[in-house]
Amino acid sequence: MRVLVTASPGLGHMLPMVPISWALRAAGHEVLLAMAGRNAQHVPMLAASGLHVVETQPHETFVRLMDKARDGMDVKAMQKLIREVSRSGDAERLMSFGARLFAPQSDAVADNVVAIADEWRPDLVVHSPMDGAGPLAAARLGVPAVEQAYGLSSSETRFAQIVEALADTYRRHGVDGPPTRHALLNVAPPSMGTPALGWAMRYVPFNGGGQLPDWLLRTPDRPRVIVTLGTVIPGFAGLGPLQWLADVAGDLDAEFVVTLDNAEAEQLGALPDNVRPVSYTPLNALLATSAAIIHHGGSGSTMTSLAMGVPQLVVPQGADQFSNAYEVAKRGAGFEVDTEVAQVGADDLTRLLTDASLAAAAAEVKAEIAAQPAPAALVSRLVELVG
Amino acid sequence: MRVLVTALSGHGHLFPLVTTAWALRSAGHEVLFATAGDMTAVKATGLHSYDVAPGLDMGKLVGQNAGQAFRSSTSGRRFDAEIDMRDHPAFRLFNGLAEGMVDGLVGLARDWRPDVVVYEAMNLIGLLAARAAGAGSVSHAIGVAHNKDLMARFGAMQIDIFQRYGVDELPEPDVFLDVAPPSMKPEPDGWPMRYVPYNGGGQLPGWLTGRPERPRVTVTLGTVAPMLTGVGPVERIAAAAAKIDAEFVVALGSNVDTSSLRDLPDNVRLVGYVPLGPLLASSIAVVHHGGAGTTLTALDAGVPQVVVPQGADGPINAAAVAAAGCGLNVTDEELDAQLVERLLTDDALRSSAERVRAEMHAMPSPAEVADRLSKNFGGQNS
Repeated sequence: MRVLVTASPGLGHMLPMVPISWALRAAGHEVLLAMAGRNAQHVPMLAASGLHVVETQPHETFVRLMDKARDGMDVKAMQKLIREVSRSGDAERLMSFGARLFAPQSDAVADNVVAIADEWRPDLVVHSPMDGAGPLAAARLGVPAVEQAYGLSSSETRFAQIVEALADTYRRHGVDGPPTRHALLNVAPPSMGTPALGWAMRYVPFNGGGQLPDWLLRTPDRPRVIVTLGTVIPGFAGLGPLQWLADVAGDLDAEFVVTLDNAEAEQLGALPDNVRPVSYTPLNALLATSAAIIHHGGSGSTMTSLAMGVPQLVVPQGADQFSNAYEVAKRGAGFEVDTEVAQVGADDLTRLLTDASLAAAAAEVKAEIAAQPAPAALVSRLVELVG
Repeated sequence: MRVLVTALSGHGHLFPLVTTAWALRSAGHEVLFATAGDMTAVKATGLHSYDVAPGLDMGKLVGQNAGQAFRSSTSGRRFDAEIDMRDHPAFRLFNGLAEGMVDGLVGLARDWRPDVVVYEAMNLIGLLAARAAGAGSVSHAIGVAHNKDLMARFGAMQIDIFQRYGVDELPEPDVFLDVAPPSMKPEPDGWPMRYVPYNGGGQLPGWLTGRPERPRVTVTLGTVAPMLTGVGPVERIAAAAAKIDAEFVVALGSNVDTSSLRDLPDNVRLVGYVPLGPLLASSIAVVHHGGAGTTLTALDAGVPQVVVPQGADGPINAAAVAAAGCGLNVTDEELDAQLVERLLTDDALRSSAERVRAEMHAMPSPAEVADRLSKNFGGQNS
């Protein structure tokens, strides 16, 4: 069969679609990714997955749309609002917030996604959670659409909210409503988030390929700790949450590997000898020989850390990061430091490296994830859905 | 399960293992792709890769041997003849690469501890890596010509390398993955596996995902032949094209001298490197040089082929295609308008091509083979 794969712009949405795409290809199906990036690197990074990609919009479109969606609100105020909504525990409110933010992005690519689908004639559309253009194209062709989650929390209502927010787009294309056949591939581990929804699927990390250096293949003598704020936060909210690398990391008997290029790392000031900045390196490869991770709580970082079974210290800054941090702490596989209140301190780092209960819970979740059916095992269900 | 995949870095050797690696990865296994020389192709596969011989000067080895090797094997006789090929330049090239890679590959296997090593059939040092790690060994064919016996003979000529590692007799791989379609090889050499083409990913231009206005014919000489033996077959297509109602898309890669291809007819279009799979999906026929990957990709697409062998295993592939009835095996001189016309109109070629495609699509997919490998080798080291 022919499978069109769509996602919202941004690596956190795009890259998680790769393993299921590989699985489909390896089972002999044809796969085409129709996506757009939020900056000039995103589509090339996706294309470096080895899959075939068509770009649906130039990335500049989304910079404009994000500015517009923020509606004059500055970054600090935006973070504050998301933090409040996240902490209120009102998941539905957060969800509708997200649907409103992402609907214009789906609208911006919809005409092109529909045109590509009309020409390429997929039998199935697989889409990321916030993308509404793929399902629209599927509905137009009368083929099923399958949402693939990228994180812990899925929702029974979000899909309908996105369709509703795209009512004008549906009308423009003469489509009455969403595809009648719709399924969810849910990557939540059985003990976290919303595991009961949809079809359970093992989270197989894809954080980009790349050539691995020698030092990454060997477990070091002293514990290695990975430090990352992902690809969005450093440019969006700055490196403040990493200031402790310069201030206290030198006091610890551990090696800190931080995913910043040299120019970014210089912004932190003089770094101790046991801090090593590295340019973009796949997170799963970094974690394979590491003892722990400190990250911003992005879904990709959270899920990859859970899949690799390392204890996590989460310093959430925006988006779904607060709820990811909450879920990780609740499960006992890590804990959160609220960087609005305090910097990460030596005590936090010691706890991360020595608290055996964190490592035990992380190992349990890793085992849970590994026991879920892999993307390769879900392909036959997708074929059945297409019929 | 941890899987070390290894191949030479040339497209023809590396590409066929990519879909198998994806199958393993998307089944949740860890995969590391070890190669050497030019790392460009492997870096575009989305896989984690490792350079086992940093600084390996492929150019030097290729410069000394490749042109001569490629041409001198054009007859196809020497490739599978039961003669000592140790003086053959093709052997010296492959042996040079193996010598350059073996220490790094074996060292990597000792460090990384794979459960199984999947090696491209001609990259026999994969057997030593498997042995060093106590891992299973899987030989992965990359074409219809790469049969188990031929690879064993090829390996026997490299016994010096094995002896340095204390192995006096070439071991047999635990598994041989055979990608030959059943009608081209009724008795597979090991586990049959569907060849699912990978010819490079990346951004596709819009004209490639849409439908062409005129019937499209793909013309390609692969990535090696045009540099070694020139673009003669393309010149002949260009001369014939004006008489034929079709669009000829010529995919020649980037490092090719195309100075003899100026003033082309309107219906001949030179494109740079384009992934062959999507290109053939929009084409009704193909003219090519007989490379193993090109031949199998064309068989998978189910389009009739004209094969104009230029060297290496091209003559064997061309003969296999002709014997299966889904293409024509011709010399440069035989390539003319009449022949292309036949390619486009001969129903017997088309139906045979469709039959072989159907056969291939019924073979166990890489995903199914990955599952079988996991049952056989999972837990060896992890």
